[in-house]
Amino acid sequence: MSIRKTWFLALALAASAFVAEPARAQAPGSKLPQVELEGLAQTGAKTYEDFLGRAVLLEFFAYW
Amino acid sequence: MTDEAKGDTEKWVSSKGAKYAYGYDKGSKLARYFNVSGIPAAVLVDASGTVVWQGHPGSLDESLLAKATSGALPKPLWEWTAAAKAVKNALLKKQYKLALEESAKLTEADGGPAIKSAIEGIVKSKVEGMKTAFEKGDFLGAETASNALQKELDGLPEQAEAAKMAADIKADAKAAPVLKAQRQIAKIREADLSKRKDIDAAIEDLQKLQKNVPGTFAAEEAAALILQLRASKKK
Repeated sequence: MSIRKTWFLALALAASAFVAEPARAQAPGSKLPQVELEGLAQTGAKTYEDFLGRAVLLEFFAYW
Repeated sequence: MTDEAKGDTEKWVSSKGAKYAYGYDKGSKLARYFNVSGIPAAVLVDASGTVVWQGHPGSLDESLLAKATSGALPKPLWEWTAAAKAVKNALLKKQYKLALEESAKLTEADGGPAIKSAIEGIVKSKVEGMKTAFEKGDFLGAETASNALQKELDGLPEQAEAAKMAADIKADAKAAPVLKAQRQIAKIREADLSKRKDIDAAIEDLQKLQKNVPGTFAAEEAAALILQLRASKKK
């Protein structure tokens, strides 16, 4: 059950071109739980809270 | 990313030429919440903090993107002018009445009207999200939202809707057993189930919960978690 990897997340402020295919929504309508991100980089945000009021695309990456 | 040093990640990001913001998911909490077991995987969150989509990033529909970005703040908080500091502080404390009042004082050059409009949209979206949860039988989601919004919307007319939601849940005879089941499911979801015997016990508990509240949102949640737990056993 537990994922031992430490995922890192790309936070893209949703914007440009994506392939238009039907979405496979799995958790639509639910509120995002409290997000604790460490080492935010390439952004002026210090914590995830700083993205308040913005649409955010969270993409999971793993490096191993 | 395993337990490797940040330096390795930074090198990787640099080698890929990635320009987007990134961060580390502390304790893999978010990945666990979304049951991310492979990549690429993405989640789209709208301006009100509601998850609107989850899946393969290549299958993200443009119309969803447009919907998610609709009503969003025109600029992220860290790009706001010093004049907007009071609004920013109120927003971070989720004091929406104060945020609206302070935004009304801002000039157009400081983004006042756009910020005010976005805050109004966020408030509306939060209330709609609470109602949607109730309508689909997600009583725990509706109750959680109601409790939060009664505080966050203090002094705004929408606060009455949040209070009414709490009363509606209390008055709904179907709600109590579903709420109880949802709380138990939430506990199971949060538990550290790294041992096979614990996973088996959790599946058994979830099956009982399913039988207790058949055809409800809680039963759907239990079914989804059972599938997730069974999949985790195969890893």
